[in-house]
Amino acid sequence: MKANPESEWLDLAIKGDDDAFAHLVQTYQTPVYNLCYRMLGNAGDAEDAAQESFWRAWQYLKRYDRQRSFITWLLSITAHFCIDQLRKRRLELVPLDVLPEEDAPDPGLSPEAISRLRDEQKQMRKLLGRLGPQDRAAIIMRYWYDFSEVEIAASLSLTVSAVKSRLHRARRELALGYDECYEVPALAERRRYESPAF
Amino acid sequence: MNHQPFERWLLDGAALNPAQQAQLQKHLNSCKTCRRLSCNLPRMEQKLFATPPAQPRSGFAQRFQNSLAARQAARQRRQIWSMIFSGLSVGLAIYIYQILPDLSRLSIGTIFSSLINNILTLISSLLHLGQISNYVLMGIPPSIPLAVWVSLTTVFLILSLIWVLALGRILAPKGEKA
Repeated sequence: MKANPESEWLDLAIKGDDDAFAHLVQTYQTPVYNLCYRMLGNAGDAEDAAQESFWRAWQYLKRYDRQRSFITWLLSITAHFCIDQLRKRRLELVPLDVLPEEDAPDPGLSPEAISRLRDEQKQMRKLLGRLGPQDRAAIIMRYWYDFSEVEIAASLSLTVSAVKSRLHRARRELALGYDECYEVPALAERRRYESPAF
Repeated sequence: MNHQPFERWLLDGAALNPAQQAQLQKHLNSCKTCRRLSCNLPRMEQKLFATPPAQPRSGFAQRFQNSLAARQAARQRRQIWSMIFSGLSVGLAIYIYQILPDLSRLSIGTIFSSLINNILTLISSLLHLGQISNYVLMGIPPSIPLAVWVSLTTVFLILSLIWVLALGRILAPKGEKA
């Protein structure tokens, strides 16, 4: 195992070595799980979706194009699976922000930290829940994985201009839903009242 | 109120010249929605960037490995069933094709009994085929490569299918034909 162990594991996995694929699962479990969690909003569904995504990756591994980044390809499979799940869920009329919280808190955290973490997760879930499945996937890839618009387009099978438009719409939706500064006084008003805000 | 191009400038993080900046500031002074957007956007982005990735429960990779064997077995079972189903569909289609010219003259009972007869013949042929295969397998050394095995088996299966079809034609009720 030489300069790039990931590439070696990938080669072995493509040749049918299940242990090598297990190494890839170990390496990429967090990004795949995080995408599922941010998309679906709860730990149980995220675990199932992440397991299913790796299974699909295992099945389609022989079709993987080595010119492409493996993580982009893997997250593309994951995103498509989660989008399908969200569409099915939408048919069942279950909004993201009413799903039960199933996340087991880290036992090492203080009660205050757990409470703060839960509040943040709830707020994040509520925020992302405002977006449609593809817009949500685009935002997650942009902000958690630092994907470029081209990479997002390749992952979600969209054109770059469609990604730009989705990111634009999603940012607007999120910013207006993020109620940190709900009432911002105008600059003129602030000057008049000497407000420290803004 | 028209929020363009100000909303676009804010959301796309466009680089603005001093004149555009002044225009934007003027608009923000009069537009509550864009003011809210301009205040919330950087905070929201900061929040998204700062939120750490969610971690799976420990043992995720092990759980995947445990499920992999079960999923592989289930996939193999599905493949076998789909092959059996395809084989039966092809057989049924061939049978229907064979009796099609006489279909108007045959009673449902005759068609049914003929079908059962053909199925029994097929099953008995396959059983015999299995026995023959066992004898062949016992006689062939294990050093023969897999590709040769697959090719031989395929040829053997094709010949068997032709044999079964020919047998079906021979055994077909001749008295009922015109």
